[in-house]
Amino acid sequence: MIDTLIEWTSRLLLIVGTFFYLAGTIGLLRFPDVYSRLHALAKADNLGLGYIVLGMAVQAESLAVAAKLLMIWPLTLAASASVGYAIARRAALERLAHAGRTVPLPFRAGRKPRRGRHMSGGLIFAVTGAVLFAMGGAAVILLADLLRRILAFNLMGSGVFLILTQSVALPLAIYGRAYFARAATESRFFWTLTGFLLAGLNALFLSTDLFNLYVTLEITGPLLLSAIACLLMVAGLLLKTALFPFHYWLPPAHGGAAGAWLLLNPPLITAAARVATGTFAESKISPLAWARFIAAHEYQTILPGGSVADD
Amino acid sequence: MSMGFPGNGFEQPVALFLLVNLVIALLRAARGPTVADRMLMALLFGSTGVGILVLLSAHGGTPLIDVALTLALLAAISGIAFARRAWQSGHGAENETRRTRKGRDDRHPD
Repeated sequence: MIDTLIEWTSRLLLIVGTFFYLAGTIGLLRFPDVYSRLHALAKADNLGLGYIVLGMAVQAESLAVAAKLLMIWPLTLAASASVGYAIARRAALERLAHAGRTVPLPFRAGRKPRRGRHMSGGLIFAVTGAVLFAMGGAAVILLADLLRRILAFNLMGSGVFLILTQSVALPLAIYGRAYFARAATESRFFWTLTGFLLAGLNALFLSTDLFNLYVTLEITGPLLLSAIACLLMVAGLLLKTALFPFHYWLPPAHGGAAGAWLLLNPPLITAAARVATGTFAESKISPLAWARFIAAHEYQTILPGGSVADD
Repeated sequence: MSMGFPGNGFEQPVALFLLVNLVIALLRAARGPTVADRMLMALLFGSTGVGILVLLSAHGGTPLIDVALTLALLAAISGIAFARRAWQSGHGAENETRRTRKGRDDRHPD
């Protein structure tokens, strides 16, 4: 009885969530200007996500899983609030057009940003980077299995990247002003990330004495699941490399992202793991596991790409 | 691997629906007209991606929830990085009020 009730509650919540996602997409397509589209995205979609998370948390088997699921929602709410504000503010500074009768903006929309203003954002990025680094480091130490450690390690890498490239004081002291030239930043990012990932793999091997990547990643799923994973994977790769359907709309943010490294990374890790364990011929990595890596790396490289494109 | 969810059979259809939803929303990215609209698409990829990952965790196991958390965090940072850094005045943003400028593709000035 209770089981049936939970099952149907969960289904109902999932369907309500789907409705809000649909509403968000319709709003994104039909609303007249950036500001109102921002509403569609930040409100409707996050409400939909809330319902879906709730629908999954209801049927979770343990409290820990449910709690972790419910952590996702406040995080995305806080994130979309700040991102929405940042984009709307910037749009107003750029004097993007409003559609129709609208109330005046609650901030000084007429002021153009000063030249060289980006330098002043350094502290925020440095602090964010330090927090990311600390969180990732704690997770690397605390987490149990290799996959999560690698994900946490990527978080650490992002933090290091932010500190090295985006905070002003440290790189300015070390490399001087020329450091902020685009090419230098790009290569710095590439080698930092590569070096840190390789060092991290070594460290993981030393600490766990184990490279059982394909044991922790072992996943069996039905056909539809694999199909979705493959679609996501292909979409991610197309986005990353700015191939055909995505080539024209990408913001210049993607200019400096390390696409080649992204493509090579999961196979490289797998190969390294196999060589390290001497089980090269034995097992294969599943498409979904690969898709997981791709998804995580997607969002990790959009970030450096976005900040590199500043110059 | 412990799954963590019994699953109710709705997860995969809903995930597929969200994927289709995302593809349809790509029309907005195609139509633009400003860089901000395209960035909104990137953010939509983030929130829908988190939703899909959460749904798939019913079959893929709880590690996918970790991936969803990471993705939610990093998608937000990419949005902030865009608004504060990557969105360049003038040639970066195709301003709606100045759409009569010649070349549609002025994002690559050289």
